[in-house]
Amino acid sequence: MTLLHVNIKRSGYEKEKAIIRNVSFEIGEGELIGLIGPNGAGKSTTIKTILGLLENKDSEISFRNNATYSYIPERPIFYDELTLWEHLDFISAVEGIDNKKYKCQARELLERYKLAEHAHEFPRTYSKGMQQKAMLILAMITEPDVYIIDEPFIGLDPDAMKLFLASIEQEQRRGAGILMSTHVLDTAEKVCRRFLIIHNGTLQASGTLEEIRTQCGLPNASLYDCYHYIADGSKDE
Amino acid sequence: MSSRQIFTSRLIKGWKYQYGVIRSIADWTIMLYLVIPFTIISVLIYRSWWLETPVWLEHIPLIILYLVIYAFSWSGNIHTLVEEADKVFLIRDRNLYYGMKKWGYAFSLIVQMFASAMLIGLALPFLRNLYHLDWQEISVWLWYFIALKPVILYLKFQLRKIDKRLKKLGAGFLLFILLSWVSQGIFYVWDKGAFPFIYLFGAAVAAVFIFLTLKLLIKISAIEHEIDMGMRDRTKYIELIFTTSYDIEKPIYMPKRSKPLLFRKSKVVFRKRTKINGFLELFIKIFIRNYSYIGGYFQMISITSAALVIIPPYWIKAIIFVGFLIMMYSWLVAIWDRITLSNPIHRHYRESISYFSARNRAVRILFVLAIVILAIIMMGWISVMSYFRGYF
Repeated sequence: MTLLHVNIKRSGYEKEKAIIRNVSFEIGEGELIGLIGPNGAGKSTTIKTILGLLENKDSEISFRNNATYSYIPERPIFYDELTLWEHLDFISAVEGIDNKKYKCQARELLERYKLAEHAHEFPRTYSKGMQQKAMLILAMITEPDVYIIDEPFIGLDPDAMKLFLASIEQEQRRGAGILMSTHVLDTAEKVCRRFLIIHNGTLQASGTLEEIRTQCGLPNASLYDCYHYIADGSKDE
Repeated sequence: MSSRQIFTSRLIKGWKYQYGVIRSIADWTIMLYLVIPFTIISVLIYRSWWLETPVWLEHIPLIILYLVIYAFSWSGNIHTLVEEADKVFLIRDRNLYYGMKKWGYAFSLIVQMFASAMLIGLALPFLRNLYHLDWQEISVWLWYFIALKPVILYLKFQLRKIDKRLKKLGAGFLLFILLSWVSQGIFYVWDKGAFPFIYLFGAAVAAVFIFLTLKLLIKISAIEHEIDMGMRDRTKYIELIFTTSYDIEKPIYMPKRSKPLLFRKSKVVFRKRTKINGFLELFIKIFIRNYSYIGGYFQMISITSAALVIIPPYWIKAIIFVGFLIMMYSWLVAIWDRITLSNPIHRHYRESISYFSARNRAVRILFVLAIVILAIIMMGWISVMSYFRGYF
């Protein structure tokens, strides 16, 4: 069942200058989709368009009725004056999560991500990896239907990365759809069911790895090879 | 490039930067309509002080005026003009690095000494016409407050190195009190007419503290603090704009403390958990923990109360009060939006009804509180005035 339908005809930061054009895809229940592309390809613009953060857009973005989403940005964003626990408290209050349920869930997530000892500290004073983990916890506390994750692996140590992958797998099993933008192609190849390869603001290839190989004409190639085939091919044009 | 040239280019670059910051919010027309009337009114008020002593000062003893000048002497800082990149590049040439800092110190000292002289100049109509001091007596004050500047700049330079806000405030308060006792001692000596002692004391103290500051500036280990201070000095106007402007997203400088001072262990303000209370809790905690907000709030109240006391005609007082009500209300609404919407992840909450209900409640409470505080300050001032009137 489709959780999110995206059809971006054009979108950008300025009215006359579109950064992305004709990007369409859907996210279904329990699906993990990798949004792949080089720097400046339009991945973040795609995400911002979905989140409604850009004004200059011509697009149709529709979530399934009452579907909720959580966004995890590339650069963690916190309220500078709130502790991590207070962030959790705020989100659970405005999202109307039951008090007992949220506390229990928050403690479990904090323990799992080894942040329990730092729960009453300001996240702005955390290390980069800790901030990334805190963002994940804040996203997970609401148990959303859709996750939109921008470059999740930056700053995570191998343990945290393993934990993160296990967590998103668990969320997939719960039925959440995930759109994940990343540069870490070997990990994406292992965990994503489908891929969207964006280059120069347009969707150059999409589908499962097998479908992308066919689109590139590279049987048995890795995602890395397909990515370079698309990126270099576009450069040569 | 010599150290003087580096200092001069950075100083000019800094001025241009600050000018750019001011220009970013005020174009020529705004500056024209604000600066010119403000200058004319200031000159007229100052002139009126020469012609007639204001009523609010008539019963104030001289020592109070002296202590007010002392309190204002605590303004200003040493600007070393150190930049982040200096720890990689300029630091390689120690002579250039120290040289630039010494120029920075000399410039700061001259500017601050001039500021002290301006303070005395401002108080001159009262010193001459109300307290009937002769020029020799006033010169001794001028000398003492100029000599006090190297001491205050040195102490503030040391204080700014303290990371913990509470510790910094405590130490600052203690030093302020201690130095005020020294200053009161000097006032006593001055009252007895021992002027040569004050001249000698001032010269010795200034020399000692200039020497100590120069020794301090040589320390290379303080570079991180100096960069931090430079950053704060550079962004002071931006922070000022931040407190009053709607469009800027984040405060530039945040204290380094990792845990909050109030509501430690993430204690809640409201036991009952509703959406409205969730928004209110977020707003209250951020408002009281961020100096830009709470400082701006009290700054508006204190400036208004000072204006209500100093500016004489009642009709102007009434205009100021109405202006304060409008300013405070619109400022609180803008601050609410900025706080709650500062995190783009949570912007979609602004579409909820609870968001607006919480906003109305928070703004109303803080608005009424501001009026109550203003009323208390005004009543306090009237009580002080009547005390002195009865005493003298």
